[in-house]
Formats: sequence, C-alpha cells, structure tokens
Amino acid sequence: MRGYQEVAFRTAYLITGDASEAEEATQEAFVKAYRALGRFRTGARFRPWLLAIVANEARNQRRAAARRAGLFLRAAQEGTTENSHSSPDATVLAAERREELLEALGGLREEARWAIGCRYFLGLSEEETAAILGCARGTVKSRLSRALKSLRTEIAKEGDAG
Amino acid sequence: MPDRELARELRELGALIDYPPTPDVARTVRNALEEAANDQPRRLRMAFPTMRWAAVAAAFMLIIAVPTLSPGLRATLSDWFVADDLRSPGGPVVDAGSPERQSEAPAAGFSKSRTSPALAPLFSGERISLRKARITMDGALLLPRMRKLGKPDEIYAAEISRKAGVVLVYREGFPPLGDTGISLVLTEVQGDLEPAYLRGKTTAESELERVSVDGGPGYWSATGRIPSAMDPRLPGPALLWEQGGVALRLEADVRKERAIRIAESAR
Repeated sequence: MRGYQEVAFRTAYLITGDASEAEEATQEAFVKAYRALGRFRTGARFRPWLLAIVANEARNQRRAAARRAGLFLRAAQEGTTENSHSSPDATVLAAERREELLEALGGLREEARWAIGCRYFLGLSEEETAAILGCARGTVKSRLSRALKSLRTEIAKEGDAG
Repeated sequence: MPDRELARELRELGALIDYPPTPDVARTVRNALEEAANDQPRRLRMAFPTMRWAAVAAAFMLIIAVPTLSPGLRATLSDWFVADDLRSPGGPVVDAGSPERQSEAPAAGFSKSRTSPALAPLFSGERISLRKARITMDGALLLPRMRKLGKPDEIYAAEISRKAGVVLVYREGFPPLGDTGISLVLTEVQGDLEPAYLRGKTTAESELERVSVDGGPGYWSATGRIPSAMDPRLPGPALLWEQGGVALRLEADVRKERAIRIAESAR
C-alpha cells in the first residue's frame, strides 16, 4: 500500500482541501480496500479501484463547503513565488495567467473541474480518472474535451469583463 | 488556444500545488488492522476517531431525513453532505467553488446576532447565519460563485418593501466601497424587481440603464442612485436584477460588465 499512499493522499487532499481530513480519508479507504480485497476482480487494475474508494471516502470527509475554494487559490499564491530564475516581468505575467486560469476554473461545473484535476493536476490515467468520476473509460476523453472548451469560454469571459 | 497548450498550462498549474507531506498512512493502517484482528470491536474504534463514526451515522440519518425537511434546510443539508453535481457512487468532487459554509454559526468574523460595530449604521437588521438566511428566503437564496469573493463575511436580516429579505456583506474581492471596508453588498428579497427596489417609480428619466442579466431584466446605475429610499446607501454603482423569483441588488465598485458577470454567477 505504501506505493499508493502518495497518489491516494493527494487525491484526497484535492477533494477535501485539508491535510488531516485527507489523511483520515486515505486511512479509511485503505482499511476498506483491504477488507474488500476478496471482491476485487481478478485481472482488473488495482490503482483505479483503490482511487475510487479513496475519492469516495474523501467526499464523505469533506464537511465544510467553504473549504472547497481553498486549494486552487493556494496553488496560485504559491506560484507567485516560484521561478526565481525568471525575469520579474515573466513572473508577474505567469502569476496573472495563473490567476486567470484559477478564476476560469472556478466558473466550471464540478464535473469539468474534477476531470481537469484528475488528468492535469494529479496526472492520473484515463482509467483512473474514469474510476474516480464514476464513468466509463471511453467517456473521460469527451468529458475532458468539454471541460477544456468550457474553460476557454470562461477565460474569454474573464478577458471581456476585464 | 489549442487544447495541447491549455493542457500544458494546467499541468504547470497543477505542479504548483503545495501538497502537504504525505503521511505514512500504510503503517497506521497496518497497525490498526493488526490491532483490530486481535480485538476488533474495541480497538478498531480506538484506532479511528469515534466522532467520525458518529458523524457518518448522523450524516446518514440526516440524508434519510432530508425529504421531510423544508426546502431551505434540505438545501443546507444537501450542501453539507453531498456535492451538487456528482452524486453517483464513485463520483467525488473537488472544490465546488461554493462560497457557502452551511452552519448554524453566523458568517465569519463576528459573534452571533450582533451587528458589526463598523457596519451598524449601514445595516440595522439582525445579524443572521447563512442557514437562517436560506430559511428566510425559503431556500431561494442566491450567492455569487466567484472565487475572489468567497463566502459572505456578514449577513443581516432586512425588511424590503415590507417583505423579509437578507443583506450579504463581502469584505474582500473588490476595491472597498468608499471608506466602508466593504467590497460588495448583495441584497435579496423574494418577488419582482420593481416593487422591491424601485417602489413603482418610473425609470424613464433616471440614471438607470436597462441591462440583461442572464437573459432576464436588470438595471444598472453607475452612480448607485436609484429611485428608492431603500437603505443602505453605499458609495458605488448598483445593479438590480431578477433571478428565480428573487429580486437582487448588487453594490460594488466595479464596471457594469463585471457586475453583470458577478450577477450571472449567482445560484
């Protein structure tokens, strides 16, 4: 299980936005996965199955709706201090672009935001993303494509609104 | 911009997320399982917080009870325990972007049922919680879903044209309105726009500009002056509109397009 704990914890953290809740969700999921091993389908891949359980536990953990907004903002703030080798102008521009992306992500439906989170933030495979989203693997591509389209629309709106 | 470029930017953004160090969950779980194997009923409870099981049980009971509750309370409970869009098994959600924190406590920063001293002259109604505000609005309360705003910092009960309404006060996200320290105020009351905010007065010669908010009727006042004597009067522009049977008035120091965008994010 140790080999899976980082991706499991990060998945839970993206959902809960809180380290202690993410830890608790991951623990809970590991216990449930252990107990459900007898029902694990032979030949299936373990990681998507485990991540689906983790995601469910994390969703159950997420008690405070206000915390939902935290992570994306934090990511943006962290970003402004990164890339110290870049020129000051480049850093500012990058920070502005991140702000823009975060604002646009905030305008997306959860389904779209989560598809993006799985694929681009967590770097999960289509199969793993499908397990977490509770959809067929073949659906992930189309969901992601729609999510990116919506994101572009949100970015354009943001640009228009200035 | 092609998908590939946008995907690259998103990956870069994801790489900037400051994840906390991963705890050694595997060891904790192994220990817990070993202990549970020895003395399952008692020790497993000790290995995991008992409060959590109680909370899960309570949540379950509440979800069962949801259909019998009022719409306002039902919405509150749904937001507490189930995300809006993904309710299917295996359908977790990240960051709904919701500014709400559904709790009995009043909005952040001040004690219950007290008007913030700084705002007392502006908002004379009782300070209430978000949950109470939902109930006041029969579950029709609308909140702008803009990350910059977050949740309302204060909420006050208000009487608007002899109807019970609410005033949501945000302190961050946009430039302050004058020297109030307030970034945005959203006033809501059930009913139509004109009786609520315009008191039946004509808008023909006023400074109000007709606008469309999500296809519905609205008015924009760049000066904030509108033909009504409704309190509070804040130094800044105002947008009035209707949505889902609710008449809303937004006051913030932003341009018209921005105000409309904020309004259209409300749900």
